[in-house]
Amino acid sequence: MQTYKFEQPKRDIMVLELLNQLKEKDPTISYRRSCREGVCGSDGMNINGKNGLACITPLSSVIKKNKLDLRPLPGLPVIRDLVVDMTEFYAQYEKIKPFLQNDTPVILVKGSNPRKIEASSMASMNVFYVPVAQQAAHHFGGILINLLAQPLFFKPTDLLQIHATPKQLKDFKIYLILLVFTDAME
Amino acid sequence: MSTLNSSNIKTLEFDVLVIGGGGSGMRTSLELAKSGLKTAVVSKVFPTRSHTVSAQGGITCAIASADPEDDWRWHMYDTVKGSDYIGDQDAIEYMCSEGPKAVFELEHMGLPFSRTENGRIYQRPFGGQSKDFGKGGQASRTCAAADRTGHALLHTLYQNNVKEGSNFLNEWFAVDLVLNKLKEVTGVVAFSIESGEVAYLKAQATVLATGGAGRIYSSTTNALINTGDGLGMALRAGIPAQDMEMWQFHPTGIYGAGSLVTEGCRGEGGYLINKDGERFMERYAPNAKDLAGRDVVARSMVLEILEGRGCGENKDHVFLKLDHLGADVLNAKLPGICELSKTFAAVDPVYEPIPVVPTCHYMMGGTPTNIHGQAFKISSSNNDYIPGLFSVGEAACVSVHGANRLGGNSLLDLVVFGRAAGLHINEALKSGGGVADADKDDIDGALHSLNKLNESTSGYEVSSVKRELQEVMQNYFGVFRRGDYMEKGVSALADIREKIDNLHLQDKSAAFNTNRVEAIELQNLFEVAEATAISSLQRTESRGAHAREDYPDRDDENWLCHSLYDPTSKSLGKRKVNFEPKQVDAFPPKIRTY
Repeated sequence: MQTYKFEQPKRDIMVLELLNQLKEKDPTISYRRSCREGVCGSDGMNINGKNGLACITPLSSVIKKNKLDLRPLPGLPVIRDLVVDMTEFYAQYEKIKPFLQNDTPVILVKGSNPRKIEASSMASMNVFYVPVAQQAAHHFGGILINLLAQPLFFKPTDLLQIHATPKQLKDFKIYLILLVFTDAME
Repeated sequence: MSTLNSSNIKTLEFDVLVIGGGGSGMRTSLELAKSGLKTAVVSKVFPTRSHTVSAQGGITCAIASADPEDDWRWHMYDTVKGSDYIGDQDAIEYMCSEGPKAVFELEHMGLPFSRTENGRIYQRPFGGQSKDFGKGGQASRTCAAADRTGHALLHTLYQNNVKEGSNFLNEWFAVDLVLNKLKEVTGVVAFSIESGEVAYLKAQATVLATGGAGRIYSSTTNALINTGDGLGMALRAGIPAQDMEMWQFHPTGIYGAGSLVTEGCRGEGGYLINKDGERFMERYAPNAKDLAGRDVVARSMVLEILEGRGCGENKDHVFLKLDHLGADVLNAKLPGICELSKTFAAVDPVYEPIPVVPTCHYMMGGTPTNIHGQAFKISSSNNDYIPGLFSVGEAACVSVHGANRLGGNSLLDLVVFGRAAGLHINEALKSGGGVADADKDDIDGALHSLNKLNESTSGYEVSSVKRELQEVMQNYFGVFRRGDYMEKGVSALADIREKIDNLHLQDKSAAFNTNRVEAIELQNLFEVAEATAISSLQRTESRGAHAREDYPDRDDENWLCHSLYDPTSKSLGKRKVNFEPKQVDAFPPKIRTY
């Protein structure tokens, strides 16, 4: 443990600011820090026995009997001063497969200009906006589009975006009910 | 520690190096993960600590959720106007038209956007966004995950990089670019922060995704790590920087602390008031009011303060009023800023207004690139690219933001151009593109500044020189600028350079030496600061975020162009703005009012 003496500042500062001030006098003090506003997590440490983020811990809330104890986060090997080796932590994070597991693939089908047709599959959501007028029929070349969700209000100039399940796209069973709907809506 | 040279450091060889693990760097690496090219992300912090994590308001994109009639061309118009007409229109067109695809991709990757009742992505109003090319009123185009969209985006990207098995060199600090005799970039020299081990990281393509450099100013919304490392390396290697005078001062940084309070607050209905409780933006921007471009709002706030209507004991800030939104809205849509306000301003926005002041926030300038991220060098056309070098994100200047960036466009910039660079590099390297090897003396040259620091026995202290630098920038190159002050500033920086070249590295240890990291970061900050200062002094007009008391008007005749700073001669040149989008007609420059 290294001991530093400091004068308690007139206005309340965060523990991180104190560390920065101490480091100006002793540049060998090592700690991680970045955002200084409590969103990145870099400066997690043990402050008077409690784990927390130094940048959002006011000094006034942790000074006890004119003393402040700063220790690295417990449970992990210490590299230097307040810096711990997070390797094990990150390895565990990867083990839980921390990503969206969704086996419906995103399929992007491009139609020809100027009416771009993009289709992607989203498991339960099928949304589109507006179909286009007669020209769409040509670009689709007889491919039909299945309307699975509530159609929004249509306008002939808008972009067509279809979302369908992979199976539907694979089977190319797409019904051109669009144009019929357009007329009905108008 | 003995003098480092090419013989006593090891070489790690890759196809692609991505320097920086923030939003743009990780989107580039994600694109390359499936390519079969050996890629490494070199990040000085664990990737999810990158500054992208702090982005709050959202990612602006015409996905037509809030408004089924929304159109990417309207977004393009807003962005071109927002840039005060020096944004490259082909790049802006690309970003806005590719945008929806990029956002849906993020959604499918698992980004937990806030949702509307019918399950669509929630979009909030944001500054400078309009319907129907400015004629149809305020648009709601910024897709959001509460007020922590950047946090969600960064974590989603990291998770997907894990899923795809991306290779990370975490807590490795890139020190300098290595260039071969043909002036191609062949990689970087870097060291592991944890062990101190130095290595030559060799690659056919090096992507600078190192983010901004807000820490050249004393007061900034930026993280402590935003030290312009990529720019510093580029400038030291003689590579130019574009539009460095263009720094965005975000209207609402918390007074004192500097932490960002998102524009989304004003999007949700909050507004700024002076000491008389007046909603002063009604005077400065009668139509858009508090949602005018950020440069317009920041200047208005400073004018209110200069004219004596500021708030607080020193009348040196204004207030952001949010209590009229009600606790429910605040807790649901703006929970992050409620926390920040309580922590750093001792104010609960449910009851009281937040004290705010324009704070350095974003660097519109950077390494000039095309839409593929290829970096340009100084040449007769200024359109010749540097083999082996790319840049994406805030560190790059494509330019989609020109003289002023619209809110929400930064997150979009990251993913659209991160992906574009990844796609291009994949294609280019597989069709035979690449660079020649560097010689031993090229590598030795890149180790020069590291050796000098390691061998220093006396000199100037890092923290005090940093403070000196920040004060010069804060005082002479802030929201309002004036020629004579800027000249003083440039001269003060010239004096500081002598100190920068003679820093004393007090801690010479190997393991997790943050003194060494901060010393090199300071050297990078200095390069960025000098480029900023000289560019600001020499652009003799006001445009976007660059406002001069001595040249208060926009001068399209002489300055409807990019500025290009040449670090070898410390002079400013000009570079053409692109007015040739492919799918729509260019938007001609107009007087910019909101």
